[in-house]
Order: sequence, then C-alpha cells, then structure tokens
Amino acid sequence: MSLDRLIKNCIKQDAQAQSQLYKQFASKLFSLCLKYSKNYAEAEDNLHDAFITVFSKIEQYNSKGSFEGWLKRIAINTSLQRYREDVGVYDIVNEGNIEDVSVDIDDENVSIDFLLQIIQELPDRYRLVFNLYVLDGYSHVEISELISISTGTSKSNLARARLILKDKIEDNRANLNSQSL
Amino acid sequence: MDNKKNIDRLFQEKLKDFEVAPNDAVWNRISKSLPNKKKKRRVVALWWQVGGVAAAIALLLTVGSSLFNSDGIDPNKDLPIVNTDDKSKDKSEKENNTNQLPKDKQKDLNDSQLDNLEFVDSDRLNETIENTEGKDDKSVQEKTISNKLVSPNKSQLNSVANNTTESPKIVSPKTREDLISVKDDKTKVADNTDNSVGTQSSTDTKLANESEIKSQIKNSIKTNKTAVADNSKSNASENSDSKLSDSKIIDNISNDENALKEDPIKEAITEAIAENKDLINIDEKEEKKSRWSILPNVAPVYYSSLGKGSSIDQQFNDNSKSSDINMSYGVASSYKVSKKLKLRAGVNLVNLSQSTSEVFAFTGPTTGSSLTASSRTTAPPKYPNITFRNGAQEVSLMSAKTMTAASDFGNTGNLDQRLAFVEVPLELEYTLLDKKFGINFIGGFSTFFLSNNEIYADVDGTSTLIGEANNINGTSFSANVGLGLDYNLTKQWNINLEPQFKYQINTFNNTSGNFRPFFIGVYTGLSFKF
Repeated sequence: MSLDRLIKNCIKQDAQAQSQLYKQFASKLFSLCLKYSKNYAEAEDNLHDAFITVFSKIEQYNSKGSFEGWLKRIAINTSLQRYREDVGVYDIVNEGNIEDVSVDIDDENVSIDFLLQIIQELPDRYRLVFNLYVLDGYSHVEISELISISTGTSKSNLARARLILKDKIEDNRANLNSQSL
Repeated sequence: MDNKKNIDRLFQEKLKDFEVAPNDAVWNRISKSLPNKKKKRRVVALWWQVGGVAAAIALLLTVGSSLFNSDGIDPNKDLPIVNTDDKSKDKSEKENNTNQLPKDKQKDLNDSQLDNLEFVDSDRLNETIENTEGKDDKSVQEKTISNKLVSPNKSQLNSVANNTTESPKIVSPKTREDLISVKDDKTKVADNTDNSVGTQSSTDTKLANESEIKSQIKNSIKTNKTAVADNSKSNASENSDSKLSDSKIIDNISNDENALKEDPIKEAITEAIAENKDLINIDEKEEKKSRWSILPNVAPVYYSSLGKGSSIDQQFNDNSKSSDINMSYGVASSYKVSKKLKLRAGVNLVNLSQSTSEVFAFTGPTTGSSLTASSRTTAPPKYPNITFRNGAQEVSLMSAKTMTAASDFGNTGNLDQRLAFVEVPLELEYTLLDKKFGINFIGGFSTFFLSNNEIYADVDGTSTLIGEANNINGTSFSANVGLGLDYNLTKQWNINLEPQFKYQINTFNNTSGNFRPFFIGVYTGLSFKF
C-alpha cells in the first residue's frame, strides 16, 4: 500500500492501516523519543502519546511536506510537552551564560548505546537543546520559541551539554584504558 | 570551531541511522486508546459472522427438515427413546417374572418343562395347556404363570424388533451396521432370557443369567448409544438439526452414562447460542448508526421489446407498437451492509401497457367472414394466446399489414395490452460517490406476480375489453441494472433518482418473433434513514 493510500485509510480510522503506519514509523520515532527522554519508560510514553496525536490529527496533515518530517515534529513536540509540564521541577536557576565553546573529542570509538545513555543522563533542558540543535537541526531562535527560553540560554545550555558529554566520553575512554591496561 | 563540529558530528553520524523497535506493548496500548478502532473492525467481521451463522442455520434447517420429511418421520418423535424405556420396564418385569418363577418351579419340576415349551412356541404352549387343563388345580396355576411369562417376553421381543426396525429410520445409513450388531445383541439377550427361564435348575444360575442379561442389555444400549453418538459426530459439522435430535436421543438413552459424551456437544451448542447472542447484541448497537432506510418511490415506466415481435399473435410481429408511460409505485427498505454496499428489497405495483397499432377489430362472424372473403381466401385467424371474454368470442382481429386492400376499410384501430404486476425487487446498491450528492450502481433482480391482465380493442377512440392473454406466466422475473443518484437534504432525508433498466425473463410462454420485453423506469423518491 502506498503511503498516500495508507494515510487516507488512517484518516478513515481503518485499524489495519493504523497498524501498518505504526509498524512503518515506530522504530524511527522511538529512537527520536529515546534521545529526547531521560529513560526508556518515558520514551515509550512519549511514543504512545505521539502516535495518539498522529492518529487523531492525521487529517490535518497536508501532503506538501514530508510525512516523516510531520511525524517527527509531532514526536518532538510530544517530548517537549512533557518538559513544559515539568518545567517547575527541573528549572535550572542561576546559570551564568557561557558562550559557544569549542569541544574537541578525539575518541570516536564509542557505542551508540553509550552515546544515547549520556544524552539521556543530561539535565532535561540541556538534553532538549542539544537534541534540537545538533541532531534535529533547529536554530537557537526556533529552540527559544519551542521551549520558551532566550536564545542566550539556549546557546549556554548547548555549550554546557557539549561539555558534559565530552567529559563523559573521556571518562569512559579513561575507564576503558585503565581496564585494558 | 573545528573542534566543536567534532563532537556534534560524532553524535550526528553515530545517531543518524539509529532506530530502535519499541516494545509491542506500546502498540497494544495505542490501539486500545484509538477511537472507533475496535468498532470499525468488528462491524465487518460481525457482519460476516452473523451472516455466515444465519446462512448456515438456514441451510441446515432446510437440509435437515427435508431429510426428516423425506423419511416421513417427525424428528421430535424420538422413537428409540420410547423403546428403550419400554425395554427397561420389560427388564424389570422380566426380573419380576424370573423372581416369581423359581418359587413355582421349585414346587413342580414339570412346570419348568412346560415353561420350556412356552418359550419355544407359544401356540404350542397354549395347546399343551389346553391338554393339561382340567387335570388338576396346579395346571390351571401353570396356565396363568405361563401367560404371565409369555406376555412380557413377547412384548420385550416386540420392543427389540421395534427398535431394530425403527431406529434405522432415525439414524443415518452409516449407523445401520452398528444397529445390526445391536440387533444381534438384543436377540442374544432374548435367547438368554429364553435359556435362563428354560433351564432354571437353580435360582443361583438364574441370578447369574440375569446379571448377564443386564450387562448385555447395557452393552446393547451402549452400542446403540455409541452408534448414535458416532452419527452425531459425523454429522455435527454439517447438520446442526440432526445434532440436536441426536443429542436428545443420547440424552434419553442413558443420562448418566452419556453425560460425558453429551457435554461437549451441549457446550458447543450453548456456546454457539451464546456467541450468537453476543454478536447480535453488538450488532444491534452498531445498527444504531442508521443502517436502515426506507424508500417510498414512484416511477414512470416505459415498456417495450428489444426485438421485433409480438406477445399476442404472430401476425402482429411487424406492426408498430407503442407504449404509454405507466406508473410504478412502491416502497423499499435498504440495509447498509458495509460502507459501500447496501442491500435492499421492496414491493412495487407496476402497470405496463403496450399498444399494437394498425389492427382491425371486428365484431360478429359476418363481418369477420366477409372480411376474410374480401381480403384473402385464408381462414379466419386463430388467436391461441388470447382467451376471449364471454360475449367477445366473435371478435376478429386482423393486422392491416397482412391485408392488401387495407385502405378499403377505413381507419385501423389499436390492440392494447394492459398488464399489472406486483414486483418484488431484491437489489444491491454499490456506492460510487458518497458526498452530499451521491452516485450508486444498482444491480439485482425482481420477481413479478401477475395481478392484472387485459387486452382491449381500441377502435375510433372507444376501447373494448375483449379478453386476456393466456400466455403470461403468473410468476416471472427480471434482471435489473440501474444508476442511482441521490442528494442529501438532511442527515436523514435523501432525494433519489434512479433510472433503471429491467429485462424481463420468463414473462411470456409463447411469443412470436423476436419478442424480448423490458421496461425502463425512472424511480424517484425519498429515502429516510433510521
């Protein structure tokens, strides 16, 4: 079944089409959710909520843009929504602005699982900013609008995220080296 | 900046093709919280299930009843049950008898000899009794005992005979072999009773025999039962009717012993019934979404033939024929089977008329004969397809086409055939476009019942009923094709316009020429959904 046909049938709430659409995109969206969430369970919740939104709003999808892009935006928005709700708990106060810093990393021999793990371990807003900016290509202006922060905060968060990630990768390398020695 | 890109690129490259399949549980949760999802799926499934079950039941009832009727046996009679009951009674009676017997036999050994005779031949027994009669009081007693003995045993034998003759009628031929073995068993039982009563040397042996008899009767019942059970098994899939009656039979033969075998069947039946109820319940809920609609309609109909020909008489084949626009009116109800498909049925009253022009109609033999004499030397035409009304036998009909000097006779008249039918259409409507303005394709067939049939001679503006056509079948059919256009006035009310072509099948027995009648109707009406 072509994607267009699949979408049409999903609009008609055809259960089979919905199942097929899920199968086709679940893995991609789940990896996205994993990156934006602090753990596996939260990622599952976000994936669930995202698909509920997808199926309830699918008739609003206009076939001009890429459908996958539309799905990803919904998944990202769903993940951000959780952050917006939880903002009181995780708000980071009194952080001095750090300008863009260059972060060098010379060890590329790290596993995807490890990278995912350290992303998830980032403080919520750092994680979101890092994901949005580095992995999904949003600008600081867009990010500032999406999560209601200033572009300065966004840049600062990104820089801190990078440093944290760098430290963790280097720690990991050090651990690995000490083990191998 | 080069360095910064480095860590970003590390993540970008590593996570570019990163995909993780989520746990299946996530989809289960999603699918559960999706609106309508379950409903939508079940509607179709339910329809097929309910439809299938209904069709299966209908089929089975038809097959089942025809099978039973062909055997001339009421399926509810349960003949073998009666017999087994009798037999068990007989058994107890027989026990009584055998209990009675030893007392008497211990008194007199001669009696036992006589008893032997009794079982060999009851007629002879009577003779011997008659012979011994009057000898002493004992012999009179013997007689009464022997009578007692004879009658229950006879009835038992009869019951066995009945069983063997009647049971094959009820069960299928497959089980006949089993029943024959049952019969054998029963004759053995009968033999045994003979022997036991006949030999009667001591009460102990008798009792042993009795238990043997009992066990053998039990066995025979068992075999009978298993035979019936087998029958029910083999037929279970295709014949629920017989399954029911069989289970009754089983039930009645021996409740205790059959409890196990019976249960699965009963369960299956009750499950099926329960399922059915569930399905119907859910289906009823679904139906609330206006699946039914009712469509009163009116249609102008135009009746004609595809080929040249006449249903009235051969001589009118070439005459030009015209049709008045008649009316058809009726009502139909439709059921929405699926999103695209509607099934509908209804009743219409249809009037059809056809007028054959250029026909001379003359009353009275003189005119008829003078006509024939003057036109041609042919015999007056006969009209095998027309039954003339009383008093109209003298009407002669001539096609102007067959006459050379037609102009001599002034104006020609028409021959009008007027027919009315009660039409019962059964049609499927397939939705091509379902918007405010809808388009449907309609196909199906109709059954026609003739309700009015008249032929008029129409000369100079006066039409006279001359009779009726006798070549029209009381029941006929048509194949229907049409296009339905509808317009939604409100959610419940639609306006319909349906031009339909109905090709008539089997309407006339004996037509001449290439007479293939059809009619076209433009059905207009309102439909009301509920």
